[in-house]
Amino acid sequence: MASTTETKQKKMLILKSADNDEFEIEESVGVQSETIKNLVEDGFTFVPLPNVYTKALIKIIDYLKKHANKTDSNDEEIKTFDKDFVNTTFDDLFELVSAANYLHISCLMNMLCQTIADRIKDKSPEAVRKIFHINCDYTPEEEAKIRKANAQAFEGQFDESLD
Amino acid sequence: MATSFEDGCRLTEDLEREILVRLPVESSLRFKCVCKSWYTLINSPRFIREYLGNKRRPQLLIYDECNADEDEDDPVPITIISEDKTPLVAKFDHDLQTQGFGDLSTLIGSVDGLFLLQKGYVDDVSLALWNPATREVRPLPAVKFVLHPIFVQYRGIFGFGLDPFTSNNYKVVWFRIVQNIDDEGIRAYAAVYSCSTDSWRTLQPIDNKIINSKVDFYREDFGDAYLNGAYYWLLKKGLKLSVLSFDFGSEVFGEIGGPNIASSSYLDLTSLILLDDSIAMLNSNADRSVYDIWVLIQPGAAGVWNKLLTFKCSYHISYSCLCGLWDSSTFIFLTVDQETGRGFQLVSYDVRTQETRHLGYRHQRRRIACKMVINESPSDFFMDSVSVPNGTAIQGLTELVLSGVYFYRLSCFGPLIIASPSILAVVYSIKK
Repeated sequence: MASTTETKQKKMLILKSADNDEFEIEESVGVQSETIKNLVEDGFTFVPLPNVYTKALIKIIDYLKKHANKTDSNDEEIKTFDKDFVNTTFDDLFELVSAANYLHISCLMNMLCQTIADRIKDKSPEAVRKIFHINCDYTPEEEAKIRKANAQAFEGQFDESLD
Repeated sequence: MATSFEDGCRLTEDLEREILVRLPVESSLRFKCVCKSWYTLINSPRFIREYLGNKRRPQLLIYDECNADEDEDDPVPITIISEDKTPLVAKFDHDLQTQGFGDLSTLIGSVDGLFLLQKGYVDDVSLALWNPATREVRPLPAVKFVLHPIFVQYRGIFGFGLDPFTSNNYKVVWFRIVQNIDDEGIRAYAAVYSCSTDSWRTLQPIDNKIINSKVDFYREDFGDAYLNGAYYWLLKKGLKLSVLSFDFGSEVFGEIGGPNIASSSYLDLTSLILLDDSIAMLNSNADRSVYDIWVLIQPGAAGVWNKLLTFKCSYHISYSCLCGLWDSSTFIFLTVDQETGRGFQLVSYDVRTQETRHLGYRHQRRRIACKMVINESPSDFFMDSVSVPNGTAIQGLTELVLSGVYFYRLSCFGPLIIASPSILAVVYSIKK
């Protein structure tokens, strides 16, 4: 990107959310997203994001700004930021992971998927269904058979909470 | 504005998979009963491939060598040890007993978290593939080696891995060395089991280039390893080391010349290990206080090896026996229990920091056998053991069965393997 910069002024981009809110960010911040980078390389400075809602976009822009300024010295600060970033509800995390996937921000995808996996790993299947908005389509007999075939994975107590 | 997830929408299947591949194996097994699509997803070859590609820290499986000390009556239950958890003594023994493998003579592996179980010796051998994560045991059909009555078996060794050319195909190789009781001549036979056909094919007799009449047999185990579609066994030929290889694709045996380890070293203290996806040898001095690691740089008859590092062990883990590696710098040793002075305990030793850490496992037995469990797999190894309700009730299952339960993968192996005190090792010369 630097080679095309003609002036010292920072190049800016406008991102438009699914709810039609517009956000101006520096190009160097935005191109951490592969999706945005491809559009920028094709000459776009106005980027509509029909799959990303404002609420998620605000958080993701925060994330991109923080990570664009990554240096050796602010490692701890970024870790704290990331920890706060994922400290939210499952629905918010799903919204963010969908947005990160659409925007192709792989480090954010990794962090979100691992966070969700870590938070559900000790939960019961019933709790996981509620969290993921999944209707159980097994008959009770079918479910009993699957549980029996994987009996060792059902030993002990599981977390029934939904957060 | 309300977001779709607050309205009860589901994630896309791709994103659900991205999350599920990051779960520990027990959780992914438990979540098979969340819904039918997750069951299909978690059992799919693509999921398994991605799951195994997500490297996890290996675990250590401890088992009983039934031939170790028959006079000792303190049995060793099968135990799995992770770095971060208390030792897990699950009902593995019970599972194996119900499948007729309670009295196993040895096991080899792991490959994708699976083990090959062996019961009995010589002509009375039963084999099975076992996934400790799902507790499935798949017995293999009997192999019919037709040996001439004048031959007696000296030694049999096994290897287990994936055919790199035919997708989704695990193979087992059984290499047998027999002696003609009349003229004492040595011959080698082999048979290969293929999961895709669920049958054995004999390769016999093996080309005489692989083996000649002058064969040295050693009872010690020198280690074996599986890497990228081939199996490797350490051999000792007089004062020289070499490696016997078997390619699961071409089904051909080969030999790789070993490193030039100084003749002052004790070759008996050399083991074959897998280190960061390379075949390597670990060689120690007589009191096991100094170790050298040689890494295979270039295979072939000559074999080019590079001495990677030399490390010293502190006194209390000297005289102990290497069981495996957590990673390329953390070795697991079986060492004399310092507190009681009898029996053994497991310690890990960091080569770089020289720190020793007790793994919280001790046993009165003088010897136990250990294997590394690399990449536990949540896959139902053979589908027909999972009675799926009402046949087609689970969408996608038919496709799954047709596409084969045996996923395939060329590399992505976690650091390590090594076998210490078990397995039947063979040492022999190969005529050039």
